[in-house]
Amino acid sequence: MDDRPAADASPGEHGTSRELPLEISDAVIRLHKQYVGRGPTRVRTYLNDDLVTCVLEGGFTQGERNLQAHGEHALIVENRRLLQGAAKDALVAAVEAILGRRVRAFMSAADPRQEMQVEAFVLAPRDEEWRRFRDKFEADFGSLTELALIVDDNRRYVDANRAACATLGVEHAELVGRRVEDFTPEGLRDQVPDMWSAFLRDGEQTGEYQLLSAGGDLHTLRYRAQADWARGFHLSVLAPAAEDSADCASGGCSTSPFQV
Amino acid sequence: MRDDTAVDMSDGPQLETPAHRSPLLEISNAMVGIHKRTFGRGPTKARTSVTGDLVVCLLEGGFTRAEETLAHSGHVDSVVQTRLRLHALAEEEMIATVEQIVGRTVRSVMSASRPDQDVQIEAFVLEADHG
Repeated sequence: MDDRPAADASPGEHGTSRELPLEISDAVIRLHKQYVGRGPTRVRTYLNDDLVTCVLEGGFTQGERNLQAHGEHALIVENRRLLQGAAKDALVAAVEAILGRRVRAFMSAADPRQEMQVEAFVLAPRDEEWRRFRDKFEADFGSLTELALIVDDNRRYVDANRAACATLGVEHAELVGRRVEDFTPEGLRDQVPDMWSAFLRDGEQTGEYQLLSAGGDLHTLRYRAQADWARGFHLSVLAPAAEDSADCASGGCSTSPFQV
Repeated sequence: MRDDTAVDMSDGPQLETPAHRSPLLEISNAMVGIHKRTFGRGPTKARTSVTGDLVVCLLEGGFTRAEETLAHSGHVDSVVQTRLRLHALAEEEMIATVEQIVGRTVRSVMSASRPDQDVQIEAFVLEADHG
């Protein structure tokens, strides 16, 4: 095995930025060096919705290897658990700072036989996180005639203004939790993951998009989307494509702070 | 394979029909069953994700009344220790189950619990797939 610390990262589900898992892996290596005296030789971080899992390889001390050779497996596991307890606050703070989300639970386990360790961070639900930003969203976008939608990292709708709910033909509560693909015509659904990856990479996106309402109506809309309008929450503002020039000519252009 | 599946187990493990057979659901169901037999109570919710060489099950609920009482009276550590010892008894079955479902060798299995937060994980690191 290569002895250099490797901060591998699996790309997060559905196009989450690769940088976040790498940052978490780096932080885990740094904190292990600080608390254990030796850092893992390799860390891979996986993001899946509200679960962050870091798989650590190597980095067990010579003392631990000697204990393992003498059958003291359980003692090493227990010591590692206690060490992780001591490092818990720092690990949780690092992950919360990197993701901008609250960690609900932290768990750690070690397998000295394979020189592996796992750190798991269970994140607070997104709807709970979103409460911090709801008032601003409502003030800025709540009464607009344009559609305003908030989507999380996994392309799930977290919030929408009244115009968006009306156009999509759903109640607000019915929309929250559903995915972008659920309101995309079947022929375009396959393109969504690539568009989403490009959007997160570029930070913003504009163009035309077709939305399929719950009742089956197809709407062609201009949109402007901004990644991380609030950290981990992505904003799209949409307006009917046909109203474009006529509205502006008559002085009826968008009053949105995030103009389409 | 990269996906995740969440299942509500509050009414017991879900029964699958061939048309709905999913390896992730199979793993979730199997973990719920093993937990129930090993600890006396199964999780109420299980979600399995497979990404690269990692299979991870996030399990919620399923702590026994005695464990809850201990955890809420400041003895979280005692519950965690007991769970780890019991887990060691079920480890072989867990590994065999995951290997059979995903068709790959498990290199390492690690388990951790937080009875005060009502969550636990089972993490399986698979041997690298050179296929």
